[in-house]
Amino acid sequence: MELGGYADRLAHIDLTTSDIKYEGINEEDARKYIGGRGLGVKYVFENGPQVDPLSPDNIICFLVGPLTGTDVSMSGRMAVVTKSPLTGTVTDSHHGGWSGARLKWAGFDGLIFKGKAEKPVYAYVEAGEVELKDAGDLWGKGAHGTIKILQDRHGEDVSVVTIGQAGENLVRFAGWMNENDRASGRGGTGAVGGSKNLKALVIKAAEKLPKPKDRDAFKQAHKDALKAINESATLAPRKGGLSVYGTNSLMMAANTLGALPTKNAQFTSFANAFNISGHNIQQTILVGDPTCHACPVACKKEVETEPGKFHVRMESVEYESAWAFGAQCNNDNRDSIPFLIDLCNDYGIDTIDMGNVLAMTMEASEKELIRERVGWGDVDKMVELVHKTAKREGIGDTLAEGIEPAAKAFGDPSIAMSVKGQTIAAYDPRGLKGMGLGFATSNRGACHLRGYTPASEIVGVPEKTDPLAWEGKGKLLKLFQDFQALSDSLGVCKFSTFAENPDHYAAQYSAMVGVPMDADGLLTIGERIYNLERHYNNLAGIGEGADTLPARFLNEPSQSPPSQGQVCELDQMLEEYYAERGWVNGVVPEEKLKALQII
Amino acid sequence: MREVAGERDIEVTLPDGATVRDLISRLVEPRPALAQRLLAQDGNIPPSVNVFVNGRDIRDLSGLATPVMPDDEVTILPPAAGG
Repeated sequence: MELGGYADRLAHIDLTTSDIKYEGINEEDARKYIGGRGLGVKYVFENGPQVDPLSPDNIICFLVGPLTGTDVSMSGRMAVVTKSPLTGTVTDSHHGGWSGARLKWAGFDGLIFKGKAEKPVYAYVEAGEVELKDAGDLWGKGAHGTIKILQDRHGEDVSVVTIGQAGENLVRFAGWMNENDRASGRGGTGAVGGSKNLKALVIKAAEKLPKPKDRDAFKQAHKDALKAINESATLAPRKGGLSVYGTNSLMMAANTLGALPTKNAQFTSFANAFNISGHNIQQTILVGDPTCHACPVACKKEVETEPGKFHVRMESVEYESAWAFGAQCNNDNRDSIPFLIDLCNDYGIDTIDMGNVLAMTMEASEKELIRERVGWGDVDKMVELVHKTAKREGIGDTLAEGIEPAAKAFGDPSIAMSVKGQTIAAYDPRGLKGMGLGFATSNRGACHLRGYTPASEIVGVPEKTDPLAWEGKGKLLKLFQDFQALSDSLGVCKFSTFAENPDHYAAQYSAMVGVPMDADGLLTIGERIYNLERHYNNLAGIGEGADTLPARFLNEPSQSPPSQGQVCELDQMLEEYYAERGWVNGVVPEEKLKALQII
Repeated sequence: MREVAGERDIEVTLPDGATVRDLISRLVEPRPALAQRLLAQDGNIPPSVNVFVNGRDIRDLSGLATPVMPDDEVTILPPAAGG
């Protein structure tokens, strides 16, 4: 293939037979779907939408994009793409650090696993070759211990991407962790690894930045994008809110907006939000600002908590995790939150789903639906239930099935704050209407990162919109969904979109890959990816009526100003959104698939 | 913000009919360092500052001309984003 930025090499690994085949990237696929998430969705689609996610027939893809591991700012991303055991949809989950860059530098655009190994294995990747190695001594170990053993064995300069015990035990919201504690957390991709007896990837790479096709054009495009980052009120290194406080800068803003789901979203603000906010953490327990490949922002916030039962030093306290274990569980114990996040990282559990599952269990306990007593903000019980979930012990076995089956087992599905089986993130749809539509229409179940409308509703990018207004949010969300499908497919961090626009992406893509492209052309590719995901879901039986929200957001008005009295006007927004998409009640019609050259 | 202001608590008195502009003017007049943080050279609120009145972003209201009533709560935050 002649396109720049790619390693032009995929490995297809059959874990049942240990057979490994190598091939280049199909150029037409690369032009239509770029890489990372886009190519992964294409490969999962070709594998068939009816596959059982935890069967050997499912595939799991680890993919990077043509900009991953290049000089492009914030280009350290790797995508994990598969059929989700949590939602039954196609899913993709991404992480930063250096493992994505190292996969490219080791000579690969992606590794695609199928089948099931007879015994636990890990994949050792170096210089364009993959070797399967015995992981018998690693099985049963947490992510942190696994990474240490593998780095001791193969060198500290390797990247390790691994599951913990949760993935081994097929917890349906288990993820993958890397050596920087970056997580591909959502969608249960770790359970797919566990179902295949695939414990880890070890990636050894010599730094080898891909060369752009047009060096001069790339230099200018890179300079323009970096200027936008440096001038961004959000991203500017050591000045912007994200750089100084990390993602948890949002805690106070969401609380101020009456958009912070609290006590399993029974409320929309949390009286003690400051305790668990990035502002408090920055002033009290912050010890470092780690970053990822080629990122000047450094939004990670390393902390060390006070000595005591929750003492821990760990890589980062993210907003979603702090909210899930904090406000959503009515927990204002600052130090318990990094401790719980670190525990989940070691087990390889998605913190967002885990926190929501705990909050749902607290409400079930309050309503006496279950015998187990789980009090709001009972941090010791929260720790106990994380252990039980990861190990599938007692009630943990029910929780490990995911929030919707668990709430159903408890006798009240309405207390599950989820869409299509995946739990919500830290934005209340009664106070941020666009995010409500985003949760409902996300192709991977409730998710804030499919189309990050708070960029507009809170930050004001690309333009400020009123978080309480529903009109226009259908059009706004479609733009964000298409644009951010590009971030995931090019291999750059979504946070770049707080400063960069589609023109910045198009200029960098064109110069690196060597394909002339403008913003509209690139956004059409994003639209194609989003529609292919939706088409896959439709064929998997997720069609009309699936784009919905928990009834709480539709029927129970917010009690906190300024969203007081508000519910989420989902039906009106869906009508507008489907019209923008050209979909019929959430289903992609054949003419749309043809127009986007999907079929 | 507290470090820049050099004080933990600041008390200002506003006249009837005061706006966010009046409030910020009273805050920054004796505190040049705070003025640099809260106001751009053109006298407007810079992108690095978000101001809310009763939880509503003043960009969704009347900007600096947004009225401030006796019981209103005004919140000033750095720009926040993430996920």
